[in-house]
Amino acid sequence: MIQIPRFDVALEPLPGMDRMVLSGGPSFGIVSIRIHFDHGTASEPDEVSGLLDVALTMLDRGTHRMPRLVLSRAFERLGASLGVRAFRTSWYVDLTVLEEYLDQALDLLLEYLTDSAFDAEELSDVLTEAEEEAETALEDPSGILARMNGPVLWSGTAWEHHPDGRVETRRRIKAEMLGPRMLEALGAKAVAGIAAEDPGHHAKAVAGWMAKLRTLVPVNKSEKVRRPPIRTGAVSAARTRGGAQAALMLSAPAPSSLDESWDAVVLHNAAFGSGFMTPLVQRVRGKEGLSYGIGSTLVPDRDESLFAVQCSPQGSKAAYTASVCLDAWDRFVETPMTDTYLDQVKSYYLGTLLMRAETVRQRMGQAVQYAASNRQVSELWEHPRRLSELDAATVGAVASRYGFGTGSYIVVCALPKGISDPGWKRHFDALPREGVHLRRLR
Amino acid sequence: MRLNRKDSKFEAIRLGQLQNGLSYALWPDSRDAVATLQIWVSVGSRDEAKGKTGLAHMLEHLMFRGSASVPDGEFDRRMESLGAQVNAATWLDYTYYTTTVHAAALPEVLELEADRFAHLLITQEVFRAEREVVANERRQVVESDPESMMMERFYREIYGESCYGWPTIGWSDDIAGYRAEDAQAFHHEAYAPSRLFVSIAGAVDPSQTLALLEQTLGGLMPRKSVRPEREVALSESFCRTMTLPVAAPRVNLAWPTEGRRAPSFAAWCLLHDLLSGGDSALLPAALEVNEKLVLDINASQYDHALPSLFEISATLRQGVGPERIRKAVDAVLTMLAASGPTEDDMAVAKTRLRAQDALSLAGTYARAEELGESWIAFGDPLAGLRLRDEIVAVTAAEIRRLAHRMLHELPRYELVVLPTGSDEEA
Repeated sequence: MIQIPRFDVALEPLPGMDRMVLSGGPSFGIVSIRIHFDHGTASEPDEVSGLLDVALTMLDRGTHRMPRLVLSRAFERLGASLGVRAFRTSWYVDLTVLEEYLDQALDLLLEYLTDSAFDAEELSDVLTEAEEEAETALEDPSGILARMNGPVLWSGTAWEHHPDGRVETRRRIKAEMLGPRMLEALGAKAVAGIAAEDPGHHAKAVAGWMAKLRTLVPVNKSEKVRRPPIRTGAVSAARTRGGAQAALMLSAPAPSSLDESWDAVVLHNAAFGSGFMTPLVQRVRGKEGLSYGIGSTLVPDRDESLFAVQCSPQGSKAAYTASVCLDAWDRFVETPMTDTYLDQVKSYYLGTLLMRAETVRQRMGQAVQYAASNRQVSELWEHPRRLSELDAATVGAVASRYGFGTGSYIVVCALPKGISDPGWKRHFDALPREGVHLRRLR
Repeated sequence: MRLNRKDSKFEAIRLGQLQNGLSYALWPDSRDAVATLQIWVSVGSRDEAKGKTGLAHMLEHLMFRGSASVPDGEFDRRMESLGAQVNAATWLDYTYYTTTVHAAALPEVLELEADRFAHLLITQEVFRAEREVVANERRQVVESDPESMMMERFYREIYGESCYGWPTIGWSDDIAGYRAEDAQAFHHEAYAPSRLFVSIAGAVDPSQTLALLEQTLGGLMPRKSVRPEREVALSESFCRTMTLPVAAPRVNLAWPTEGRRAPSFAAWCLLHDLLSGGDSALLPAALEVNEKLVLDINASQYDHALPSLFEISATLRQGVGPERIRKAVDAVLTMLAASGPTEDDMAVAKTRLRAQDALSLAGTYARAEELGESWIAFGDPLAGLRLRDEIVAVTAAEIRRLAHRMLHELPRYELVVLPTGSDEEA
């Protein structure tokens, strides 16, 4: 069995509620920094969803000292690049920079985050641009499916909205809302990560940077928003603009990532549909050739996780493919899992974990995530160790805790125009469900 | 072994050739947690015949479906049981197979690789199922994606009937038409040791790994297999319009370049970065930030072995017509041709490239790929690494010269894509 090494990763406290992850290893002259904030878009009022995403976008528009192009040129002169991204319960900013310029890049980063400046015209342009980009994101079936997930799975809740909000709500955003929103986001407790050849060498600079940030924006008390249960028992579909192929997702609830069965659920999912040898992939792709891409995934969450099978069959075969996926699940859970098969799955899955932790930057990202969820960074190697100790009986027993067996699943589908309404409804009639809804997307 | 030399700048890298003609490069680093093995085959879609387009890619799929001694499904099962992460890709000039794995598993991985390269077996049942997978892949990746449809049409117009003119995944009719025997014959013809290159990067011991290579892939029977000479026929300048179900119009511009082996390649690379290497690069600064004409704009420097392309592609803002994009791009090129990039532009572009290079070589996959791509393109695994020094040496005068050629000497290809139902639909 593969052993995941004890990587050079450490977690250190910072003053207040913040913490710092140090990840060491070959970095080829680059230092990577991630500041992860424990606050996301799910806490936004429905009427202005997308506010944080817009606030983060406006950061690129410059500062009081430097207009947009001067600011981006200043970063590029240091060999630095930035990335910001908002999620439903967190957001982060990434900085990668040539090691010799880290101090200068950190100064710029502070200015970038805390001294954003733009005028009303620029905000208006960003909002218009975002609407146009949202339309181009719907040009292919997978883009449509990605936009459907929230409205379908968490309808009527704070999780309904994609992190970048909706067109209607973004139109309500005013310039004066963005500053307070940014302060709220920066005031969330944070984990700072450093990935470098010798991260300890840069720890003082990053800790100093965090102290400066906290002088400007003290930690506030933001409430954690709970993820609601996903809706089940329905088929939802939206039209694609063209092409013959559909995008299909079958989702079901899964236990919390803090549940004691979580490790077994992870392995059970891996055994069902994570690799080419699994029954899901062998059946859908290997035997029947129904889809090029096919696989099952778990999206972990501390409240309720999500289990999903995704594939891209021909539009006319979408319902049939969904029924094959469900049948593959039934057969998988009806057949007792052998320890031999489980050992093979463990090796594959541990190999996946090893590859995901290959670079110093990847390890830093994962360790920051663990720290943000109040777990030890040693989970990087302890989680794989626990997985390797599970037996087939324990893993097989979790089949009743999640997945399609309970009938509590939902089918989300982006269908080509060529499939007529009566046609696709008839195809889906074979699936057990409470209702079939054709959605219009905005 | 005929060759075993070292490069002063990359001392750790060992290059060589086995007795059967297979070439290799090892890039060991004991600090890595894993190792990546890649087997590059000098065969791509350019080597296919008309009516059999997509066969190189189809064969890539079939390489995972069993051999005389490893039944269908067993290759994946055994590889995954080793913890191996396996993939493959085909493009115009090459096909490659890649495995990232704990270094201790390399012996069994190499045995499996040697087996499928020597004894691939394609049954009718497997062939039929895999052909459906590939047909689905084409419908998903090309026919349901307007961007891919656009590029397929663009390259068809530029390269016509010559070997870069058809898509690597193949035309639908061809995919439906070829037989298992075609793939088996293609394998025998092209997968000879002399057309293979193995790159291994990561936590490996070079001597032990070389011995393993000799025991496994070294056992492939040498046979004569000469890659057929192919020529690329390029179109005259053109400007075409097509409609697709897109939300925003696109403009694609392209100019022919001499390809990766030409002395001008380093200058094209730097021009690419000057134009679109960062938010403050010349094209986004002018068209996206200052004039607000585009949602995004990118330059691409393709690195095919045969005459290649330098491309600029833009997604237009609402109400902006293609003519404004042409004028704005030409204004940037005219400025470059007249006065050249500023010293600051040159310095920033080279710094951006230095940082991107460092980031891009962080993983074993990327390092193995660097060696393999370089072998395919230059016939030298280290040429790509040396290219970085050549880019640093490029002068502003060379950039001015390229911009002048783009404006006044080279053919110019243009494809405008309008949304279906657009008023301007041709």
